[in-house]
Amino acid sequence: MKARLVPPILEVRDLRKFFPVPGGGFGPRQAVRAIDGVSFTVERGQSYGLVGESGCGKSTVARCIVGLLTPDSGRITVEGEALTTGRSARGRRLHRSVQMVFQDPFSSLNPRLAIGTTLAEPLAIAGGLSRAQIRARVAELLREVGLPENAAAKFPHEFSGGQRQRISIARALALRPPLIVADEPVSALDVSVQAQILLLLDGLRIEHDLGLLFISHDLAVVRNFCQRVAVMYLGRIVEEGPVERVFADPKHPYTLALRDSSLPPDPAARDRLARIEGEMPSAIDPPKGCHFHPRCPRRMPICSVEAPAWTPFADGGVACHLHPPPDATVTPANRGT
Amino acid sequence: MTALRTAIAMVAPNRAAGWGFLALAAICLLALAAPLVAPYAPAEQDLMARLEPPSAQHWLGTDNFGRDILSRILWGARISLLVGLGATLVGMVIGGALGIWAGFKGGIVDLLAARVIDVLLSFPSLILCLLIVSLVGPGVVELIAAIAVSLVPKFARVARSSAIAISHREFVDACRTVGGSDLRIMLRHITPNVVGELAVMASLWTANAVLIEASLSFLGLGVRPPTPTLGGMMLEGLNLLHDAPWLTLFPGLVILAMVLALNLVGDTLRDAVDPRLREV
Repeated sequence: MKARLVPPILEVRDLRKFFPVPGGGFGPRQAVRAIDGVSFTVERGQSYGLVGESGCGKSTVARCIVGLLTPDSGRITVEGEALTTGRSARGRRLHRSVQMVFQDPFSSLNPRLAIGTTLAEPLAIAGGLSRAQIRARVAELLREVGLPENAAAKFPHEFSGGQRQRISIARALALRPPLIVADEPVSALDVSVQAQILLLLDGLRIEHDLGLLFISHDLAVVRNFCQRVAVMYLGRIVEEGPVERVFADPKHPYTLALRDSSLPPDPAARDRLARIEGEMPSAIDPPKGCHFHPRCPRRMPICSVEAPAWTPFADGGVACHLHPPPDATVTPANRGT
Repeated sequence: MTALRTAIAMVAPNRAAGWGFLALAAICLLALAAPLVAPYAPAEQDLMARLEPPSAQHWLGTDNFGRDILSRILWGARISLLVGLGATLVGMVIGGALGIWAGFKGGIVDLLAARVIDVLLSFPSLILCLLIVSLVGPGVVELIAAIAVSLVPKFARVARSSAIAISHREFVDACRTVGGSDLRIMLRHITPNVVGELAVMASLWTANAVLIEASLSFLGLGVRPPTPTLGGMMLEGLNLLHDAPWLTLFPGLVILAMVLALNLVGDTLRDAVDPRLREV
């Protein structure tokens, strides 16, 4: 591992989170293996995409990072400091350095609170500011996300979905966090509005040198918006790397299929595109070996027996038996960054 | 505030609701102003004018002791409203707080709370109140406490289910990610979103509380005479139903009017708060 002067804004190592399945009855206790050994690193000022089908565990990763869930094991480091998920004051302070933009702009704002009150809440909880300072900061936040100052006195129902998402972004910015986790921030919006919100996020990232963990099921959006991308399937990262490389030359059959499914439709090319058959299997009882093998067009006998090891590339890597590691002892947990 | 404005907007074209509001306002005003408008003192006896039918002197007649029925009804309505509103308010605050706490916390707290609510709900309100009043004795405060206890599980159940739904909204998560405490989340984010629903319930349960108070007084377990209560007046008139039906009839009509008005108002409020009707 290279020595580095500035720690990455976010480092996730071997994160694991299982949810017990209620009911069960007799037999061994079952669990949804939501995330099963996920590792990645986000640099300051970087926009990092985390993609996968719904149910692959990407939202669970997000909720662990912002502290809404406690991971079963693994390590989350923000600016070199390990996040303790406990209730200690230090843990809370650290968690405030990671803020979240939520998916549903209609559920993420309290309908009974004026926008100004919603935006002031993080500042009030953090403390140390006078009323006048809080009011000034709220006005500044509204300006930053492109809303008029009089929006502070209005209520959520007076705003459109896109405007609400701007408010949600303003709230995430309130404490000037170095890292923002955006969980599908545009998937609930009209296409015409999506681009505006993405441009806003990108502008804020550059202006404040923010790290941005961008969670999406839409590869086309990630491709235009992110510098790096990790592809998740059933709780594991199957491929990771710079966006240009992953899209130009996907190594994992799943990445390939995902990419081709998001290309603009071209009837002539349709037959050449990789397609994914079937549904994603249950995370309660994932397939043995490589989780993707039942749907993989290029599966080999070994795929159903042994989980593929992580194969690092010059930048990024893949977990697939088609690309065996030169040295089989390297795993996602100990690969260099 | 918005709910209130919507309610008013909905009352305008709805005649029944309009009458309900009007009747309730009239009853409340008259009851409040009883010391000013009542023609006689409620306990003032006139043994020369016992059991007189309605007349110019005594608009609604007099009772066995020559007391003016109208005056007693006005004073009795005060007690009824005081007990009804007081009990509902206390029940709403305690039940609402318990329900919100259980629904938000979830887990074992919620499980226990839900079971206790179920057990308490399985007692009819009146029976529960009878039990409590027979333990603590009659009196205005005792009545309010007894009826409030019987209302607590009803409010708790509604508050709990609303709180569960709201706890899963993303704005609650958003408050958590900025370090908001559980207390803050419950007070600032959950309560304001539950209180509208509880207020509607309250207007309907006030009618019930008034009825329970009247029933208990009628059974002789309410406020002690000579303090006039509507239920107690009906009890006093019961033995003379043939000779002086006005003793029972007028207090009964007032109870009916009060309960009807409260129900009309409650129905209107419920429609106003129901978002499915509001969006139209």
